[in-house]
Order: sequence, then structure tokens, then C-alpha cells
Amino acid sequence: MIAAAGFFADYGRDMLQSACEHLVLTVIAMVVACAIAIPLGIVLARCRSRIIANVAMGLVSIIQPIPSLALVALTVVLFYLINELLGARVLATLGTAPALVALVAYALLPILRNTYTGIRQVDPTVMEVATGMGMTPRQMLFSVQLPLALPIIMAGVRISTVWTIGVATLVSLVGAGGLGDLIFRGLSNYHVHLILAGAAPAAALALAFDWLLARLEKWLTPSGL
Amino acid sequence: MSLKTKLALLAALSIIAVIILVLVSSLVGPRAGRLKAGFTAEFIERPDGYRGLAKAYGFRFAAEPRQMDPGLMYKACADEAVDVICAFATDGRIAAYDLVTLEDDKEYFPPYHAAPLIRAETLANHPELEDILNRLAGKLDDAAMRDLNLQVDREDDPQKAATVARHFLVSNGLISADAKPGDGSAGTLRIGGKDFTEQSILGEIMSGLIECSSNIEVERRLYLGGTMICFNALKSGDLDLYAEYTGTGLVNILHRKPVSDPDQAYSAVKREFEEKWNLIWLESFGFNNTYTLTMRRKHAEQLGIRTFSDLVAYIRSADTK
Repeated sequence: MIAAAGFFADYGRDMLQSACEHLVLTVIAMVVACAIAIPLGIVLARCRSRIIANVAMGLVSIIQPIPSLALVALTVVLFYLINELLGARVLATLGTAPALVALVAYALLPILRNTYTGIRQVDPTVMEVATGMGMTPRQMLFSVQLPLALPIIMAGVRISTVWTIGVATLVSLVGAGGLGDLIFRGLSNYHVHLILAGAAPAAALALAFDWLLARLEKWLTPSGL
Repeated sequence: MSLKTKLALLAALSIIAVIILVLVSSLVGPRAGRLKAGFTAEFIERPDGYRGLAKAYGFRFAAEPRQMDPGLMYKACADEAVDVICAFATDGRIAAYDLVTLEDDKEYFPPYHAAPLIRAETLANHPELEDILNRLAGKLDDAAMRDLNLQVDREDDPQKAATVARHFLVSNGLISADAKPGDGSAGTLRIGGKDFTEQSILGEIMSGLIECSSNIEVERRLYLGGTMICFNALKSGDLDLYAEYTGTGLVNILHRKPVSDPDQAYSAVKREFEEKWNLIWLESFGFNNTYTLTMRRKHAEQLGIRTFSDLVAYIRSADTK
């Protein structure tokens, strides 16, 4: 107990700061990823041409197999090359900016794919009934397709969030802070408590977000479904 | 509430949340005129790192130092992403990026002379290793090591550590130009290295020299995650040998007070490592790779900072402004 108290006296400030940085990275990345992937998924699912949808999904799918660590590194190098190309320092090659781009890119696919699949799998007979009732495409989207696809879309968002919290531990390497700072410091100095001080809050954050998103899904689901 | 209203509400809330988070985190960042530090994970935590240094000189950066990979910090400093870094004195990028190392005027940092650190057991199995590795003694001074490091780290035409090491061994007459590794009949040796360029070069130099001067086969385990990973692997027998620095051994591993005399530091680690863990320090390569606070040359001149004490004085005056 005394050892634990001493540890928190030494590292409490660092833990709090790292956890806040981690939270900021995760929330911003997830909001941006949802803002891109959900509308895009809806448009693609309602698009008549299957080819456009397949090409767009294929492009986003290319990102996912890249190891997350490599994606973070690639973003930094990409920013550097853009700067070289423009001959000016337009983009910060270190810190939050490249980290956020990598996190958003990595969070896109599960949300996009689930939104697309969720909307597409709505029973065509239900849609025919809706058309027969005289619904406009807009009404159809908000009253039929989205409510029925909601559980699948939210499943994508939840998977993405948990991944993002995990990947955000890696952006410490490019100076973006977060709980990875504590984990890497613990690793390079063989300091088990520090590794745990980084890992445990990250796990707690993932659980808390998952629970929150489950509540959100419940709130969004229209009564009667 | 319909789903449409709820979604609109959610979108509005998310946008507000993001704006608040961005605003708050930009307010928390260091204000103009304050120096930003970029340190490695190991330096922030080591007893002879930021903690000890901050205590010895009695200062703290206004914002917590940004933590980053050792390979990134030189460019980060040159590009003005950070202002002060914990450079390694023998890193070639200090000169290449026009950075300047500040003088440790209170002599806080101990000498960090690099030498092969080997298990006594390994030395007993391969007694010839002592003679082979001691051929490297004094062969590398600070300038020579900086030059080798730069050959690997330079942006245009970087070389592989193995190529640089081979060239070094040949041009110093340690092996002949057409030397080939032995047949491996004398067993295998595992050589480690930490996660920065110099350690890879030293690892390759030791590996190449041993391979070409004996029938021992070398397994390279370079770019391991830091001092304590290498040291604990050596202690437990997962490594046979790696290059360690006297100051690191003294302060970071033995937790002794820093001493400024190089010979005293060397004899202290040599004695204690053998008594405690049966690990032998062979003769030093010659160079001293100390940690040193480093800034952009122009920036340091503009602020009139030449020594660590100047830096501390500047930080204090910026804080009271």
C-alpha cells in the first residue's frame, strides 16, 4: 500500500496527463472517422452503381492490413514528403497532427463496412412497403434503413473505438503523448509499474467507451424496435 | 424524439466536444517564449536522466518534455518542433543539422565511455575473445564515432551499419579486405545492442571482428528496446555480449552517485559488475558518448545560452515573465 502511494505521488501527474492526451486523441479521431465513414457508407449503399461502391470500399480496405505501427511511421514520412514537395513547413511532422491522421485512417474501415452492409441488408420487401406508403428516399433513410441498420453500424463504431484506443498507445513514438509514453518509458527502463500505469488506464478507457457506446445505441434505437 | 433529431443532437454535441478538447489542449501547451523539450523515453526515466538533472540544476521545463524515439529528436529539434533535446554527444546529426551541445558546467553527467560488456562464463568458454575484442581498445575517439554514426544516419546516401562496420574494420587493419567469417565450428555467440544507431554499429563491429578472427558464429540481436532490456538479457544469459557505457553502468544500473573521473568510473563498474553478476568489462573503445542538452545553434546564440546554467537561468526568467 505504501509502495503504491509512493508510486502515485511520483507518477500520478504523468498518468493524469497521459490519460487526458489519450482521451483527446481517441475522441477527436473517432468523431472525425464517424463523420467521414458513416455518411460515405450511406451514400455508397444507396448508390445504384455497385462498381463505385466496390472501388471505394477497396481503397479504404487497403489501409487496414498495414500494421498500425507502420501506418503511424508512414504518416510522418508522408507529411515530411509533402513539406519537401511544397518547399515549406506546412505540416507538423511530429506530434498530434500525424498521429490523428493515422488514427482516423485506421478507424475508417470497420465503420464504413458496417454502415454499408447494415444499410444493404435491410429487407427489400420492407423497403417496397415503405415506397408503397409513399415515403420519400429521405424519409426511407431515417425511418426505415437507419433504424434497422443501427445495431450493425454501432458494432462497427465500437470495434473501431477499441482499436483506436489500442493504436493510440503507439503514437507516443512520434511525440504525440498518450498512455504509450508510460508504456515505452517502462519498457526501456524495465519498470513494470510504469508499463501497468500505462496499460491499465488504456484498458479501462476501452471498457468505458464500449459501455458508453452501448448506452448510446440503446438511446438511438427507436422504441418498438 | 425521432431518430433524425437524435442524430442531429449527437452530431452537434460531438462537434462541440471536439472544439472544446482542441481549445483546452492548445491552452495547456507551452506559451510563446517558453522552451519545449523533446527527450527519449529512457532519458525521462533514468536516474542519470531528466529527473537527476532537474534536481542537480534545480529546474523544470514549463511543459512536460515531449517523449519521442531517439532517432527522431535531432530532426525534431532542427525543424523547431522542440527546442532542447537530450542528444548523444557522438551523434553525427548534431553537426549535420547545425545543432549545438550545451556545456554541462556543473559536471552532472558522468563519463560514458563505451566498452564491450561480456559474461564471464562466455569468456571462460572462448578465452580468445578477450584478446580479439581488446584489439578494438582505443580505436575510436569521439570524432571517429561521430563520423561512423553520421554515415548511417545521413539523409542523403545512408549506409547500412554492417557496411560501415566492415569498412571501419578493414581500414583500421583489424581484418583484411577479403576476410570471410569462420566456419562456426566453435559455437555461437549472441551479441546485443540498444535501439540507436551507434549501438548497431558497435554491435556490427564486434560481430564482424569476432566472425572473421575465429570460428565462432555470431547471432546479432541488435536494436533491443533499451539499456535494461540488454542488461537483463545479458545477466540471464540470453545475450553473451553487448557494448555498454561506464556512466550508464554506474548510475543507471548500479545506482551509484555520478563521478567525473573516467578511470574511476571504469574501475568502479569493472569491479562491481564482476563481483555482483560475473560480468566483465573489457577495454574501452575510447570515445565518451555522454548525454548532453542540445539546441539549434542560432536559437541558442540568440538567447545567449551556452551552458546548462544559462539554460536554467533562461527558463526561470521566462517563468516569472
